[in-house]
Amino acid sequence: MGISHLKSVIEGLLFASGDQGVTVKQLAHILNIDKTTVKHILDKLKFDYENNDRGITIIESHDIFYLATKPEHHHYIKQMIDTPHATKLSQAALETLAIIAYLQPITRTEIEEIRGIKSDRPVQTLLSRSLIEERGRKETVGKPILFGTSKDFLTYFGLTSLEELPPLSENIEETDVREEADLFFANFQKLNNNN
Amino acid sequence: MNQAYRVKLPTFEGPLDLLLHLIQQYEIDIYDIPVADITEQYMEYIHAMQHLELNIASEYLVMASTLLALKSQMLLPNQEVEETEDEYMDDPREELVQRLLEYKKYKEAAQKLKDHEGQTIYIRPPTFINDNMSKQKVKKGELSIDDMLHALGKMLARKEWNKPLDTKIKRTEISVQEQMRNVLQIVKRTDGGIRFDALFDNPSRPRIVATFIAVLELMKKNQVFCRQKTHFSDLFVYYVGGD
Repeated sequence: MGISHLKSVIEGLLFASGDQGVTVKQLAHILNIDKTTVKHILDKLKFDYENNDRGITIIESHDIFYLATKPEHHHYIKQMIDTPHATKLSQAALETLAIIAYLQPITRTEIEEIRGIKSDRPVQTLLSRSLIEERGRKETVGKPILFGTSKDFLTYFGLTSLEELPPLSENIEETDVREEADLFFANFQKLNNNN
Repeated sequence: MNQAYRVKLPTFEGPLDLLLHLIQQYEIDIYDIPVADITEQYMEYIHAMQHLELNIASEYLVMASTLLALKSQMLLPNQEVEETEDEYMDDPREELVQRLLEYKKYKEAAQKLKDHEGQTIYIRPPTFINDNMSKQKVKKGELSIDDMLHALGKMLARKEWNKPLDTKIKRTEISVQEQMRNVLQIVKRTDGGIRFDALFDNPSRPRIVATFIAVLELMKKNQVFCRQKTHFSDLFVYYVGGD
């Protein structure tokens, strides 16, 4: 089978698997080819989909691949499906989710250390909205549950993989302080102008 | 509460969030926090919250005590520090600053996530049948009685398959005595004789044999007699009677 033929078969398999998704291992097994080739073909497909005249994309969550709509089309799709208006996440839930997304797998205590406040409720909210899921247990005293983000997390925020998470601002020192100062100054001027 | 005194408190996600807010509000350099000032501001908030009879999470009070401890530490005269020690690490505020920076990092990340909220990606359910699909309700007209009969047939076929491969065959004993009584009764009941074949209603071989012997025995005992009008015509059995 040529690469282009393999590509079409993989595209079909991705389509058929829907939200169950398919792993590289499964694809390699079905097509009887090695995993590197599968990954290569997936990359090729992904590249094809990046083109403006395509409406789908491939998303990856914990080594499972899914065929999905493009995040930039969410506005049109929403008009068609008429979903009940989902309540937006609270600040507490968002913060907790951000910590989990960047530091997964992570325990609730570790989240609470960073947030400086109890976080059982936001964790529960995120679990019930299936944005996070249990990812085993940490090998420490009490074997606390480790949490990680789910496929729904990616689709909710229009990310095609965890690599698409916006980078954390590590060196906030100067730029950030200056930005804040600028912001303050801008507000200050606005106030002055208003007066 | 005094009507004129109204405070609109922003909501905070814990003591670190409140501290960050104060730092931003008073344009404080996060790396050089004036502990005394910030503690005062912080305590003011805590008191305001108490005044408004808000439930203060214990974490806020822990932070308050941390700040007070820091403040007193800063007030103490500088002890002689050994040369080898890192001056930077000696700052008692260091730990708090690190926690604040760490928290700030994720607070910003949360904001970025929030901007993405609602940019939903959609994935359709798989085309193959899975458990979820079989749990779906049956629509009207989707199934007919034939489907049900078919299912029943399948079930019976399966039952057939499930039969044990080894079966014990039990020999059924049919006694000639009993068969004699049966035949005699049948013959007695029918006037004008009964066709010989009619006695053999049961097709099982042992019964046929038993019935045949029974007829012979009854003839010997002279309780019945047989008559055949012509060759190869039907044989008739008659009751002799007598009693």
